[in-house]
Amino acid sequence: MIGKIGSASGAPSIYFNGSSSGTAYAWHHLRGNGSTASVNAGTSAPYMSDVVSPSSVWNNSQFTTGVIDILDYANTNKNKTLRMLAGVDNNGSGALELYSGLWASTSAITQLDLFNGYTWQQYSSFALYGIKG
Amino acid sequence: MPSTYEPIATNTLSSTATIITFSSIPNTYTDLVLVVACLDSGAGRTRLRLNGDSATNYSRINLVGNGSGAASYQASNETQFDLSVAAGTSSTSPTAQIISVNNYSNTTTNKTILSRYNLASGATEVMTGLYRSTSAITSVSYFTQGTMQIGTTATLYGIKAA
Repeated sequence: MIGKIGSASGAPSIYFNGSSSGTAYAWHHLRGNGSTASVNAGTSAPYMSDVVSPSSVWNNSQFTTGVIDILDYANTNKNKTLRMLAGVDNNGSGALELYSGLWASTSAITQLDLFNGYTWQQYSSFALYGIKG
Repeated sequence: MPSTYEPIATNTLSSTATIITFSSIPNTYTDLVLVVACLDSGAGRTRLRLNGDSATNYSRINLVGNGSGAASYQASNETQFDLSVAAGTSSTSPTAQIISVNNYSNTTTNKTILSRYNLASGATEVMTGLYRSTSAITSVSYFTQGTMQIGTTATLYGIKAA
């Protein structure tokens, strides 16, 4: 995906199957901003949040790019996990994140929401692929 | 069901080389993925250039872990992407690299890339880069600061949305 949002006070979030309340999500990320590396995490959360933070990197002239992998998404015997690499470069500023997320649900994933509470800007592009063994 | 990844071209070096270029890339896919296992004579950086453009249109942010710490680096107005900046290369241990160029053929937005780089004897790195051009990507060139050795492989895949 490549994406850009307008004015924002929070980085985008991810949730599955329309479930964005409760405490079923957890996440960690390792982040670099060009000068320092940092980490952050969330537990018992209503969704996976803080995707490429801070939010200011999302509402500038360049597009954020990312690849999200959701493994064994249709399995109904185990909780679901994802990994992601995403970042934005603005020719002198920006951020880059390695991200892992947990959804404590054994339900098969039938829906993925990339939510920011604001508006995805023109020319943002999202493609969902299935990979078959 | 159509294949998700379609190999566009593969290059396995049977002699040493300083650059691997995939050209005439069709615009029929959604995203590009370049997979590289590089053996190299030097201990330098691995690099990427798009559309043969060597002007100062590239910038990037790298995030590095070397087993003892993590660090982040950036550069702007460069003449290529530096996919790896701290891990080095090896003539005996191949790199494991996956580079994504999302929405490569659109002619509206500047182009962005993501790179994962692993060298067991060096470090692991991820990188995001900006190429300030709205041109569709029709060629990708991979090179290093040294000389790529026999056995280096690079495969360019196209992946297509439904």
